[in-house]
Amino acid sequence: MGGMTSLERTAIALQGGQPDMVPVATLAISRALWEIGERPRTAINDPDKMAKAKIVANEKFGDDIVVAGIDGCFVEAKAMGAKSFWSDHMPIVDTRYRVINTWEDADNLSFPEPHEHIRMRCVIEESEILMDKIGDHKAIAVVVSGPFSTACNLMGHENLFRAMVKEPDEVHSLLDKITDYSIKYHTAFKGIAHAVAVLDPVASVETTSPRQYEEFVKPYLERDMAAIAGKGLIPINHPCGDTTGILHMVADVIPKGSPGAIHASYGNVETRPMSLKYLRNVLGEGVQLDPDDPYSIMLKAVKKEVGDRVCVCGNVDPITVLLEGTPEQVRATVRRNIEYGAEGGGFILMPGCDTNPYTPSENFRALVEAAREYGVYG
Amino acid sequence: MVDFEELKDALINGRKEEAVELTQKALEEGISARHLISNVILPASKVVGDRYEHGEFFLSELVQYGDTLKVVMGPIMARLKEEIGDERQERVGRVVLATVKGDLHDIGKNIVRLFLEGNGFEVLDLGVDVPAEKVIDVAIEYNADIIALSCLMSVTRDGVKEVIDELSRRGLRSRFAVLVGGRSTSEKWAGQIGADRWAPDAVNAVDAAFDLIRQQS
Repeated sequence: MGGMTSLERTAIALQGGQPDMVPVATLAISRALWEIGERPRTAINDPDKMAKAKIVANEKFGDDIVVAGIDGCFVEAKAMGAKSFWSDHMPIVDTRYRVINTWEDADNLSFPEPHEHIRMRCVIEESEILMDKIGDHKAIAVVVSGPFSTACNLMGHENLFRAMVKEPDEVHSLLDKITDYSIKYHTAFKGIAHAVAVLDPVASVETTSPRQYEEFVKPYLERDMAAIAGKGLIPINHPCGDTTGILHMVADVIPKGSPGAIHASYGNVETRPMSLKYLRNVLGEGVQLDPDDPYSIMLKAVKKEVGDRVCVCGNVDPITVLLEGTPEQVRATVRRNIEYGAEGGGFILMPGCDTNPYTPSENFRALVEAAREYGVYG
Repeated sequence: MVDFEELKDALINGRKEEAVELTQKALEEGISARHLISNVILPASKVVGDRYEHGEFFLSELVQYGDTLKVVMGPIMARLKEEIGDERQERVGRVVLATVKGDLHDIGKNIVRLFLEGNGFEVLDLGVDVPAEKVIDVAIEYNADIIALSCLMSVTRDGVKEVIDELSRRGLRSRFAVLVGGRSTSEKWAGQIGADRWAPDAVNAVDAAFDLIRQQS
């Protein structure tokens, strides 16, 4: 191990610098509960159990970042009235029951104080416990939802994407309200987390056009991120999927002069023609592709394009590599990730998204061990 | 005479009123439903698919196209019924479509439905969180050719396998082709669980569905 603590290592990377070695996160979030014999259903509203699980998992796998929260994509929408639906690994929002069916519904949204809503309160308390117990040497990052994705949870995809074309003013008015409320929650982590990862899975170009990102996502995220940074928290922008055509805007929402990171899968050169075109535009026609690993190579292009402005996080495939692969495949992917992303610092190795709780322990271990082995800066 | 290019353009770009007006005018002019499907609906669907695949169209454009297609297909299908008596003789194929048990994500599934319908398939969409038993019961009743299953989350992927296992258990595996897609799926995984085809997106799902129908006949 190098001479730095996990917190020091992660903080330097988030500032764009080069620490002793590449920081690594497993994103074993719902899985952490399994490590203490619990499941999300039995522990989600018990901050002590949640924090204990995250600490036990972190001790077992040895990564640098501990994540507070579990249903980060959905907490704000639930506070505003959305119903929960239990999936295996977390309660997601049940979009069959829409909170907003008319603009009048949008005028009548409820905005409970963060400490008064059970999910918000539990995440805040979990983060407090984590910060108190391990925050002096581990990086604590809390997962929350971006305003655009929250709007989608309240309205449903099709209605939101129809309204952006036909009733843009009403959508802006809704996003404005959601942003105000989101900021209240996101800034409540002042002093009890180091970083706030804003999850915005609806904002990737699988659904949202670059023009819509610029109009309906960016201004609200900018406001949110500025407020987060203003409280001394480090913002991380997670648009989740393909960032082709929006990458610069994804990086631009991190306030200038503030540390911050972007985290996504960035695209898939195997299945998305636009990803491949983008990659070849940035790295040249002769770029070598690995059909068994269509994600790692994206780091090289992303780092080249925005790596001088923000810390870049990723990009181990959580499914085909971590869930389905062998420890050897994990190690090989980590090696490629580090080769493509680590140069000059400003890089954190992690899966491209949340991990499946059935991910084998040996694969999580291989992720961290390989990062330690290949990620030492000379 | 209705200009087919104009109608196609209205459909592709989601100008609903114009598309409906031109469709009705074309039908009044005596143009057959079959001719409209071959020369307007199918080529328009191909253009929309290409534009989506190449990053020119996104969800908003697909939703508008879907809204327009729906209202345009009403009078066309009514005319087709008159023309051929038994529309089932003319069908491309029947698909039962569902997001599997435990998963509520439907946007990918809805896009697949849109493209299948735009290419002449009859689609019965069972919605989200659909248990294996229900998918199969409905597929039997609907006399489907293809069962198409979607899941976004890796934790719900077992729902796809459950459908295939349940088909085998009931001795029905060879009766239906199974097409699989969704963010957490892959070609390798689809092969491992015994699916017939995997598609990474809606455009490829249509190609795969045509292949499966060809194989069946």
